[in-house]
Amino acid sequence: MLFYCESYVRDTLLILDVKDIDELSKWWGIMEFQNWNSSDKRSLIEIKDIKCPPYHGPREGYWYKLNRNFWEDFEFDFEKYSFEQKNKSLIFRVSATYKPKEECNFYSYKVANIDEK
Amino acid sequence: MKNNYFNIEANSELELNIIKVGHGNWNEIRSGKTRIFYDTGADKRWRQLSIRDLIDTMDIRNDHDIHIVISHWDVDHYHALLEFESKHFKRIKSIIAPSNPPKTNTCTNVIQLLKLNNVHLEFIKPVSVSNGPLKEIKLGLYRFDNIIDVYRATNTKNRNQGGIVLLVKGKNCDALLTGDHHYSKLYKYILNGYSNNDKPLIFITPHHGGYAGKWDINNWKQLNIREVAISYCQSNPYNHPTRDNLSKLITLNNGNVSCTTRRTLNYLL
Repeated sequence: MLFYCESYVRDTLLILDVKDIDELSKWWGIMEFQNWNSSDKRSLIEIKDIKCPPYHGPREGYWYKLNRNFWEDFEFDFEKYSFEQKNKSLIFRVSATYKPKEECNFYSYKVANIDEK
Repeated sequence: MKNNYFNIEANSELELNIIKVGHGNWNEIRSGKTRIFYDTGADKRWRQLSIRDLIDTMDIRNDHDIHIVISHWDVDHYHALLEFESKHFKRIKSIIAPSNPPKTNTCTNVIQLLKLNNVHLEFIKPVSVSNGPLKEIKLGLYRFDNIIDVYRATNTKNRNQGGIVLLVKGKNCDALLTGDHHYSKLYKYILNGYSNNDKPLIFITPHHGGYAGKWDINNWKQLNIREVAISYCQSNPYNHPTRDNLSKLITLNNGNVSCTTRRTLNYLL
């Protein structure tokens, strides 16, 4: 699965996006999350506390291939964005927190920039 | 004499509004019912009701002509478009944005929303600039008239530096609307040698005062800068503005730096 780095602040916040809603639906299935809402068009994934070594973190505007194993150490929060809300975010779909103390070498997941094609 | 793209009377007084949108960007150039939005962004953390309130505050009426320039494809620069209603889309006379938007779902949502509402989004391709080092990202004139010069970056993979910059020429004062472009490029390709008959300049800082390349304050001190404005929210996770930039900006304008943390900033150009 490919993910796009919309925004990154070291040790604080990473915001990922996907190519389209079908991709997000696929990921939702792979992750075995419940309550997929096919009419919901939002796709941003908020990731808190992700720690990456200097110069090996995600870069805004780049794409990364993150498989099922990558997500093992994340805790997901569906209450914040995922469910129907009166005052919902227009862009965020799910929130996650990176739990390990070890740093994550995000650079190793980088793929060729699909936006150039 | 109008003679400009937006059909604004030359030498008319223009309003410049730097809208309070949290940590995002939405600037407006206004001349009566003609309104040019440079970005329509809002803080990524803002939810639907805040965005709706923001759009209500903008008071887009049935007889207004709206022109939109999306500086670049960061969500906080186009977020509010997702909450525009049909009545707002109907007032959009033109909308331009850099070509090669990221192939992301959020970006596609906005592009499709415009299409659904019969708004033609014109993608502006990178310009070519012959002077300067070959590999350098440059800014070149895409379009100019007696009110607004539109600058576009040369071809680059860099999203922040691959955008559109506006130089607005008012009756008494000019303004530079910068998106997330780097200081050094803004100076080198727009402000260096810029002559405005001694009119002062209002400078809206790039990237919410955050990192926008290294820059030499001595070049900027030569300019007649009247106001420096930063569009940002105090409690942002990015720690914008950077300490270094803020200290330079304060020096540049004798301690006078305005920001949108508490209110929208209004100027007359």
